[in-house]
Amino acid sequence: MNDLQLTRTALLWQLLSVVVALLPHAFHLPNWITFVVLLCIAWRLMVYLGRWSLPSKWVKTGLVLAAGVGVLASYKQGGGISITVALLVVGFGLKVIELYHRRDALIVLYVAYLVVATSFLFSQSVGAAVYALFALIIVTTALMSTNISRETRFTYPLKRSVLMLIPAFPLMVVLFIAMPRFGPLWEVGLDKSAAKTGLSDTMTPGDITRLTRSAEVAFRVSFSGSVPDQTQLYWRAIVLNDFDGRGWLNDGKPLPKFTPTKRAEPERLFRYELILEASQQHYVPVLDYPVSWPRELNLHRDMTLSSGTKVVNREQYPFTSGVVNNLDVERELDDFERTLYLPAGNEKAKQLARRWWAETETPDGFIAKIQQYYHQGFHYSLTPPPLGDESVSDFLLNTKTGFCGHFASATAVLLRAVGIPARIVTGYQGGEWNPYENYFLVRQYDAHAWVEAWFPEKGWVRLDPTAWVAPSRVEAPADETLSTDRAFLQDSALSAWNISNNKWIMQVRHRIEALNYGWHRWVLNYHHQQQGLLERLLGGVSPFKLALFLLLPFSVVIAITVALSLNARKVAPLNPVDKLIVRLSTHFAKEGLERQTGETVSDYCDRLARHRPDDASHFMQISAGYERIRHGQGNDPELVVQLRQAVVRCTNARGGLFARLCWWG
Amino acid sequence: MLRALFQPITDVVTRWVASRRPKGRSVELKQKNIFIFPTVAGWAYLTVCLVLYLVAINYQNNLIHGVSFLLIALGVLTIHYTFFNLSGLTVSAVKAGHCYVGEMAEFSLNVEANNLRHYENVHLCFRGEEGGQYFYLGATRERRVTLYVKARKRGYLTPGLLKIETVFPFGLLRAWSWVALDLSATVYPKPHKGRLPATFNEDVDGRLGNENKGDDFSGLDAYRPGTSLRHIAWKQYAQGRGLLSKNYVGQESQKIWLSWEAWSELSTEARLSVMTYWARECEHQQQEYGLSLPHTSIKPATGPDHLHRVLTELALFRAKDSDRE
Repeated sequence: MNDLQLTRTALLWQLLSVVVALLPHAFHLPNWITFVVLLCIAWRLMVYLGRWSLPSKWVKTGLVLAAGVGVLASYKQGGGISITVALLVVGFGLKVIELYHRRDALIVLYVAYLVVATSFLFSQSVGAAVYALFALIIVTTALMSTNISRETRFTYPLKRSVLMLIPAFPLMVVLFIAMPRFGPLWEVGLDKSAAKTGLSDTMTPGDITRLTRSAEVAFRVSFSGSVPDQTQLYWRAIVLNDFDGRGWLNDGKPLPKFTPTKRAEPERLFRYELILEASQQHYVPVLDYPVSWPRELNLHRDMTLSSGTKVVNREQYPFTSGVVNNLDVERELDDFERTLYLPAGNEKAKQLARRWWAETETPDGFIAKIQQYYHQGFHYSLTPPPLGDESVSDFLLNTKTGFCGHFASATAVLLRAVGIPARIVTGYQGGEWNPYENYFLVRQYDAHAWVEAWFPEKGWVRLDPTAWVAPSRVEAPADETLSTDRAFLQDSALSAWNISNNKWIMQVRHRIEALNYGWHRWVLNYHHQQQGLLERLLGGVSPFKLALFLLLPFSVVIAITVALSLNARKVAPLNPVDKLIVRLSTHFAKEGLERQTGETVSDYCDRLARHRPDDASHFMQISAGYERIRHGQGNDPELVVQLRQAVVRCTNARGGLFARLCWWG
Repeated sequence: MLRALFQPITDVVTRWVASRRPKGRSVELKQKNIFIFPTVAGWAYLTVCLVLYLVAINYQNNLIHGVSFLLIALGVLTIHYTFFNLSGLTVSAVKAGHCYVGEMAEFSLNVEANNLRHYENVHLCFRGEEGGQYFYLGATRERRVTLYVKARKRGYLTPGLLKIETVFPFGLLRAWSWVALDLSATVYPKPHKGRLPATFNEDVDGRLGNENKGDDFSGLDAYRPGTSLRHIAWKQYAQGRGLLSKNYVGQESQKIWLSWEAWSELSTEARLSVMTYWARECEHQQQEYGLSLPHTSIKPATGPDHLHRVLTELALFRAKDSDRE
C-alpha cells in the first residue's frame, strides 16, 4: 500500500504541514534554509497545478549536496542540536519536491513531528506551545489524509483527525503527571552564542548599571506560609572578599564545600521555591541564611550556594531560609586577612575613616558617622559621573553621586580602614509581588550590592548604605523607585509597557505574568513538582499506586472511546429512499402483498407487477429508480423526487388532494 | 528439518486461523475474526515517539515530554480506531458474473454497516489476486463492490479467500480478516470459430439454418422467464396488458443440434471452444439450437437462460469433480 499515489487533497495537507512545522524554526535557522524549503514547496505546488514538472534525478542530487554543504558551512562553529534541527528541516524540505507516493509522505510527516517537537528547544513560551499544538493537529491530519485513497473535501481529514486527537489529550495529561522523569542520559547543551546578562563575580562600580537597565526576569519565588517584608528580601548571590583598589573580586581558588558546624537556628524561617532562569553562571541566589537546600547545590562558607554546573536551563529549587540581619557563622583565619586587606591608594578615604574612628571609637558610632555623612549631599543615580584613579576617595569627597555599587564599595573601604572586617555581597533586593499567583518576580534590574561587616558577638552583619541614601530603593520595588531615572530600562523595548503607572495595564501585566508563572512552575518545571503532587494525589508513591494511577485513566478514556463507537451501533434511521419502499410495502400489505424478508426491491416490484398488471409500469419505474439511486454514488435529489412520485401514484392510484400533498411530503 | 520441527505448530496455527475464519454467503466482522498488527509505518512511528522521549529526557524538556506522550496516546488509541474501521461490517456475496476463459470474472459483493460509524478506506481483495478495491461507507450504510478475478480455465471459478483490510486512520496498524465467501462463477470455454457443423449451412447474408424460415406470427402467450427479448410483445406491454410473448409458426422445424460427434477431428478443449462459438452465434441470430454431448443433451431453444445452460454444460464437461463443488 505504500506505493499508492497521494490524492490531491493529501498532497495539499503535506505541503501545509511542512510550512507549519518550518515556521517556528525560521527565526533561528539561517535564512537561506527557510528560502530553500519554501522554494521546494513552491516547486511542488507548481507541479500540482500542472505548470512545472518534477525535477530530474540530477537536479535532486545536486540540491541535496548543495544543501548539505550549505548546512555544514553555516554551522561551522556551532554544532549540537542546532545543526541536527537544520539538517532535519533541510532534509524534509527537499523531500517535498519528490512527494508523490505515500511512502514519501510518511518520511516527511515523521520528520515534521520531530521538527515540531524540537521547536521547544528554542522557545518554551505559552504561545510556542499553543502553536505547536496547532502544528501537531495539522501534521496528524496530513498523516490521515495519506490513508484516504479517494478524493474528499479538503476539511474532511481535519475534522476526523481532530475528533480522534481529542481523547488523546486526557491520556497525555495522565502520562505527563505520572510518568517518572529521568535525568539526562548523556551530556547535551544548547549552544548559546550570546551570554545572558547576570551578576558577574567581579564588581567595579559601573558594571551594575548595565544590569539595572535590563527588565529580564532573573528568578521567581513563591513562599509557602508567611512572606517576609519587602525590605527583608536580600537575595545573596556572590560574596566578594578582595579589593584591588578599584574593584571587588574573589581572588584565588573557588570556595570549598562547607558544612556549618555551629548551627544557630534562626527564629524566623521561611519556606520557598525559587525558579531560576538560565543564567549561564554557577551562583544561585538565596535569602540570608539557608537552612535546607537541594542536594545538587553546594553551600560555601560565606553562606552562598552554587550549582555544580552552570545553570543553562530554567531550574527550580526548594529552600528554607532564616531571615536575619547577621550571619552568625565562624570565621576562618584567611577570611580574616582577606576581609581586612586594603591595597595602597584611596588615602584620603582612609584618613577620613581614621578621623571618624578617633571621634567615635565604637563600631556602632562609626557606622552612624558614615550614615550621617551620606545624608549630607549624596545622591542616588544610575548615571553617575566617571570616577578617577582613586575611585573611593573621588566618590566620597567629590562626585558624591552613585548607585548601590558605589555606596557599598566606599562603605567597605571605610570599615576596613579602621580594622573592621568587611566584604561586598552582590545579589538582588526586593521583587515585584504578583497578587494573582502569590509570588515575587525578581528582574535583573533588582540587582543590588551591599556590605557585610564582622563583629565578634554578632557575626556578619548586613549594612545597606544605599538604603540610607535612597530608602525608597529598598522599600518599594525597583521599577517604582527608578522609573523617573532616564537610564532605567532604556535598553528595553517594553519599557513603556513595564513602567506604566496605569492601573489597568498593571493588572493585565500581573495576570499575564501570573499565567507565565503557573506555566513555568507546573509545566516547564513540572519534574520538580511531580514528587510532591503525586504524594498529595496518591497519599504516598509506590510503584503499584503509580501503575494504577497510569492504567486507570487509560482504561476509562479508552472505555469511553469504545462506548462512543459502540453507541453508533443503534440502528440507523432509514434514508428517504428506503422509507418509500416501506411505504409501498405497508400499502400493499392490506392486499397480502407485503415485501418478504430477503426479497430484493426489484423482485418485489416484479411480484407486484404480476399481481397488479395495471400499475406494472409504475412498479418497473420504482424498481429501476431504486436501483439507480442505490447503486449509483449517493442520492441524486432529482431521482429521489421521481421515485417518490412513482410510489405516490401506486399507493394513491385514485389520486386526489392527499396524493398531491404527499408528493411534497 | 526445521520445517518438520515447526510443522505441528504451523498446523495448529492454521487450524486456529481457519476456525476463526467466517464462512458463508454473508459474514459479519467482529472481534472474533479480526486480526490487528502494527505496520512498518507503525513501528517507524513508535521509533519517532521514542526518539522524542529521549530528546525530552536529555534536554529535561517537559514540553517535548508532552509531545511524545501525546503521540504515544494517539498510537494506543489508533489500535481501537483501526479495529472499529472494520468491525461491524457485513460482507455478503451478491452474484458472480459468468465469463469466458481469458476474461475477468466479475464478483459482486455487498458491504453493509450495522451502525452509523463512517468506514473509510477499507480494502477488499481476493487472495492471490492483484488490485482489489477500496470502498468507504459514509451516509449510505451499504455499498456494492465489484472485484475481478482472471478466469484461467473453464469450469467453476471459486475465488480464494477474501481479504478485507484497513490501515485507516493513520496507517500505524493493519486490521484484517479473511472471509471465505460462498461464491463461484462459471467460466465458459473460450469461443473459437471452427468449421460449420455438417448438419447446417451458412446462407449468403451469413444467416444460419435451413431455407424454410417460417416466422409467421401465430399468436400471443403468457410471458415465461427466459423468452428472448425479441419475442416480447412490446406493443401490448405498452398498452398495459402485461408481459406477453409472441409465438411464431414453424420455429419447431428449425432445429440445430450442436453435436459432440460433429467435430470428431478436434481435441476435447478445441471441440468445446468451437461448440461455444456456434452456440453464441446461434443465440445471436435467434436460431434454435440444441446441445448433444455424451451422457447429456439439451433440447433446442433460444434465450439467455438457454444459452447459459448450454454454455454451462460445455464449461463443466469432464471438468474435475473438485471444480464442480
